[in-house]
Amino acid sequence: MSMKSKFICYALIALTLIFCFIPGTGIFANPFLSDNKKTTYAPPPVYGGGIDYFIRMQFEYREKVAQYLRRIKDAEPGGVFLMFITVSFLYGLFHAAGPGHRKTVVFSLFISRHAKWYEPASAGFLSSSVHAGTSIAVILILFLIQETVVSLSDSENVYAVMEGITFIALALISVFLIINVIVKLNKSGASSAEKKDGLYSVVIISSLVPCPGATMLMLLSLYAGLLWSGIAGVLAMSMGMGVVISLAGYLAYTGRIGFFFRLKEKEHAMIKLSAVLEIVSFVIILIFSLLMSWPFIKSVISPVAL
Amino acid sequence: MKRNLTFMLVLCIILSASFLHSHPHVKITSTITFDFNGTTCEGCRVQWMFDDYFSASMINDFDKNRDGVFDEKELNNLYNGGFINLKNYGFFVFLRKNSVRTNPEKVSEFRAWQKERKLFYSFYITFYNKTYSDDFYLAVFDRSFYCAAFYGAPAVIINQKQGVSPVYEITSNKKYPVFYNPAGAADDMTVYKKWKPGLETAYPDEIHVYFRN
Repeated sequence: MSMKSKFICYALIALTLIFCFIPGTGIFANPFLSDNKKTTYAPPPVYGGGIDYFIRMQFEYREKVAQYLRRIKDAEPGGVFLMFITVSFLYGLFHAAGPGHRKTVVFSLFISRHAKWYEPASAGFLSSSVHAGTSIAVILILFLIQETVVSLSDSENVYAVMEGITFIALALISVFLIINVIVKLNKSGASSAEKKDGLYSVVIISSLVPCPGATMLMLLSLYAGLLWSGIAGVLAMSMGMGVVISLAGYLAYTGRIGFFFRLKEKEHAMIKLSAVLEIVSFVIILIFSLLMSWPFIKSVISPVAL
Repeated sequence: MKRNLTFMLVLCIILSASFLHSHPHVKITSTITFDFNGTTCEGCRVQWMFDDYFSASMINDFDKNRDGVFDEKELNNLYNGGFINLKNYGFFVFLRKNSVRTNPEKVSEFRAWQKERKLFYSFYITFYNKTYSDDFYLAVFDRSFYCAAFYGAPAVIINQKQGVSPVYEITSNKKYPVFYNPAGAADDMTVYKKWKPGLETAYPDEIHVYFRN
């Protein structure tokens, strides 16, 4: 990671800590919870209409993960741990196949740039690892700070703040990248799509958010006193999520290859189109980030007491 | 070439938009018990069973002595800290008679218990105005999409004091959607009666209760 990326990551973590530990400030992504003394920030918006196949399967496998975790606690013999890892992996697949999980970001990044055949997979697994790893880190940090078992509301508070802040950062990065493409195109007539810098930084920064599914698995394993099993389950889950996020990358990668193969004789057109696609993809990331961070921004400007 | 470019842009936008959805974190399985006195429905009891993860978290937060039972103080804390905020969401219950949809403003007889490491809630909705007697609909639906609501087995129990019992069926509602604002701030608990720009629509499955002629 470049120094610039490292600085952005540290800044995101610092901002999260500041928002989470301002006295009297709390966030309730959870409609059940209430505390009249606290002000609230909004979680990301929801664009979903109902219960689809992936949501049903996600819940089915999530319940299986919980069942196997219980069987590990009950010290059942046989390959229970192996089954736990397997269902965690499958849960990760269905969890990421549903909405969210930065598939938009990875898709947009690979529509906009030349990439080697393995890079969509690298980006997908990097994104899922950071996403799941952040969940493990957040729960463990809260556990160490509070010296007690972490509550759901605390972990959801951190989730809402980190979602808001990373989406704002992503929006700012998108603006910077759009300007960068335009400047480079005007200066040299070449698209910056040839260059790889920024790919993994954007993936890492956009994924620096605890995965709610992984967080809940971590909490369940902590309550059961099975921390290491929980961490192993989250890592298996992240591998499942990585497969799906990579597929989003490969969808864009193959679409782009097929499209540019037709234009291989027209080099000038390819350069211009490449730049247009790059700008469109960053505009999509910008709109996506603004949509997702807007409720958080509104509630930061005007915090409300419920 | 223009056609290729247009195709690529449309593909780009549609696919990226299709990824832009959120998913629920909690599974609620509901059983609704309707209390009938003849042709009048006096009210209903809503029972929710939560999934293992949410159950474990709430039990950890509110069953302080870890004895598997919510005593009076714990139940009171759970009511105030983990239930009554749902009034801002109409307790996730949508009642509909013809085209008029309402959410209950208050509920009573809140209970919570644990069974096989799962958390259960139940509460009672009184139909004071007797409107919901014959041919009405009830849906359990969280418009904040924090929860995915499913109906249990059985989904419905009907208590009839006298006379013929009504029947029910779970139907997919495509005519009377629920509107919500995905970009609303934390205090946006508005119940939208009509669609307007910026609102999303959802179609919750409804329990249709009626008497056979």
